[in-house]
Amino acid sequence: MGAAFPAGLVFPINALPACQTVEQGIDTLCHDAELKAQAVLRYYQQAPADLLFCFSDIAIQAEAMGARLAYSPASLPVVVAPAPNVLLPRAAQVGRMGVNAQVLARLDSQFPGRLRAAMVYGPFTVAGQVAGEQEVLRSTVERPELVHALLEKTLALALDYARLLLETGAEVLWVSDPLASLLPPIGFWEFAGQYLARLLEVHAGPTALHICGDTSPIIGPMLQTGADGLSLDQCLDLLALEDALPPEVAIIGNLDPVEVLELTSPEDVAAQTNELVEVMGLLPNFCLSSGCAPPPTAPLANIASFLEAGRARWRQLAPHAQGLRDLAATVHAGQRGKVPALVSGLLEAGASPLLVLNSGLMRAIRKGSARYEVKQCHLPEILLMVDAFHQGFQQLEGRLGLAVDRPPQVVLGTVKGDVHEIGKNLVRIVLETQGVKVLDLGVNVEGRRFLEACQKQGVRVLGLSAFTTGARRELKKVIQLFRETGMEEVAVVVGGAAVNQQVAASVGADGYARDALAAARLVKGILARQGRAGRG
Amino acid sequence: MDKRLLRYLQIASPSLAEQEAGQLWDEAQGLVDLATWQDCLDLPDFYRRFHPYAANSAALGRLLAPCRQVRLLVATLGDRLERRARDYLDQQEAFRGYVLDRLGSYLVEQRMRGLDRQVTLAAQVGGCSTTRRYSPGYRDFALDANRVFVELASSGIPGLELGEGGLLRPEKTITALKGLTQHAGDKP
Repeated sequence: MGAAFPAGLVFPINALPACQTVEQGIDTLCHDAELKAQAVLRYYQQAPADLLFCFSDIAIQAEAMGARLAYSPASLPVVVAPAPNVLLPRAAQVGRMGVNAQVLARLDSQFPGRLRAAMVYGPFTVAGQVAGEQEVLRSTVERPELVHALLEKTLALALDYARLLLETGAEVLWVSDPLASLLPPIGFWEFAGQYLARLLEVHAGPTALHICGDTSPIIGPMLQTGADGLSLDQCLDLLALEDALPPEVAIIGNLDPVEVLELTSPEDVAAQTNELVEVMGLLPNFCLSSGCAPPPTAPLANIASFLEAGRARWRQLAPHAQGLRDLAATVHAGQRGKVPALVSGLLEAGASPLLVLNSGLMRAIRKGSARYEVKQCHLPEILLMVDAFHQGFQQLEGRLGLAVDRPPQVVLGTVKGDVHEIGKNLVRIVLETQGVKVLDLGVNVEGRRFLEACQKQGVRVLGLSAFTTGARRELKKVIQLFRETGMEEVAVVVGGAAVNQQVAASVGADGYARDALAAARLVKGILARQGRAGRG
Repeated sequence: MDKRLLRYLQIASPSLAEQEAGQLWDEAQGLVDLATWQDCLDLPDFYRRFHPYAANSAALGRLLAPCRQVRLLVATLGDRLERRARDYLDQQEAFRGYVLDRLGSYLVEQRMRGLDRQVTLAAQVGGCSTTRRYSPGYRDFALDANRVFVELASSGIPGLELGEGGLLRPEKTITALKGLTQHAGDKP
């Protein structure tokens, strides 16, 4: 390992939206050091990140080794043909690599004291571009010796390029190896990990490794590369992974660069950023970043909103981070007897009730849910957490300023002919711990009562529980009733022992949940979608 | 706690959940008002009493085809345990409510297994063999058949009632039947 990766940084990966700050297209930008420097400097003036990148495209190393690229003004260069002969030039002699080195040097003079990242692509990714992804993946099985020979070459250039960039004084070596997630976990170390380890060794300072996609099965070998920070994709729930990462390794992530940073408004970006910081900002080894590089078209206002909101929320959190960590850990361990004192301590120290709720109590439940999703724990463990949550929530409830009479968001009940209530009650409890207001109609509920409740309360999510096969028939009747009376906009979610995915589909339900946690996740997703549609 | 029970509850060992479940296990034992009931009907009598539910079930028909008699079984824990579980949930004690409910299901199933074994052994002693256990709600054997179980068994099990949709009260009640052949050689 190199030096510790500086924790607490806020930055998006790469600097691709910088292209919006100049009139010329990306094709020109890639070859013109002065123009690129101008674009990147303007970008970081508007989006003052803590770690600066030089606008690097993924094809730069492959092109240097002979792959043919297509350039266009509006999009990043792409490889259109593998290298007919694999070249191994000196990085200093590759024009575009020199451009990036010059830009990095300019960043230092313009933003003195700000950290800069030397961004290099991993040997496996470059090998895939140079020889064709399919070809290389097939060869890992059929002709592994050829792949290793190629990887030695792509590693050699990556090392040389990294040195060139680091010579500018860049403090951080950032290695992205997106294609490595295509390898089966068992082959990761042989074809990617060991080469990444050799590449990362080139820098005595802090290093970071980014691999796109679901890297949860390869977290172990990713750590083995010696990277000081792991940059994790937005598809991963960091809460499910945090225990697998040692405290000396930075957890870097993971706001969605497209769905959030590119496609929503600055207000939505701020809201999502706040949520991420509230959950992960407690950790002393966390860096707030994007889950991958925001695309060139991501609005600069969104990037700026991300940075501003992230820092502001972190400042609120920082004085109470230790207390919130202790509270979240206690709730997560289900130790409900210890919760009241911890909540009181935080409130007395000046933490806002909302902060205690979101970063302490809710964090624990979310972590439990995330672990449950990846089969790291079972329902009883979650329910212990839920009970501990309630211990704390009782202390906060009166101080949160929540409208007691706020309208319900979900109507819930067990259908006519069925009196089973345990599963339905668990769904209600778990939903309520996640801030969803529920109107529980009880058991043996007539279809018309569901309809009237949804109409009267303006609720657009209905949860139906059915335990018996007879009740299963009732599900269909209730759903038909909603469809026939013009209430199609109500999303109907079904669950219970008599229901599975096939039954849910056959009765015309909009969703199926196999248990209380799955139900809560499903319902929250539907509410979020309905909320977005309502705004949009 | 017993490892099988922990697996059934999906609770790791050792853990806080195990400790709490252990206390609930003790509580559950104190809330059980165990009652069982058995009867034996000749096959034609069984079909007459369970009409139309038995006749409408092709799966049950296949199961009982080689049988001469049908043994009826009921096991219940009473309703104190399920009421306690509901109380826990109403008090926002989700773990206790859930685990106590699961323990109730486990206990009543254990008791029914015990009855099942008794019937099987007794049949073997008498030179008969038995079918597997079959309950209302299995495949095409309607849950409404519980109505007949309640009519037959309610005098032996006070408080046993039929609820909406053929469900039983107390909820922690299992009804079942087993077919008996005349001779072991007629094994179904």
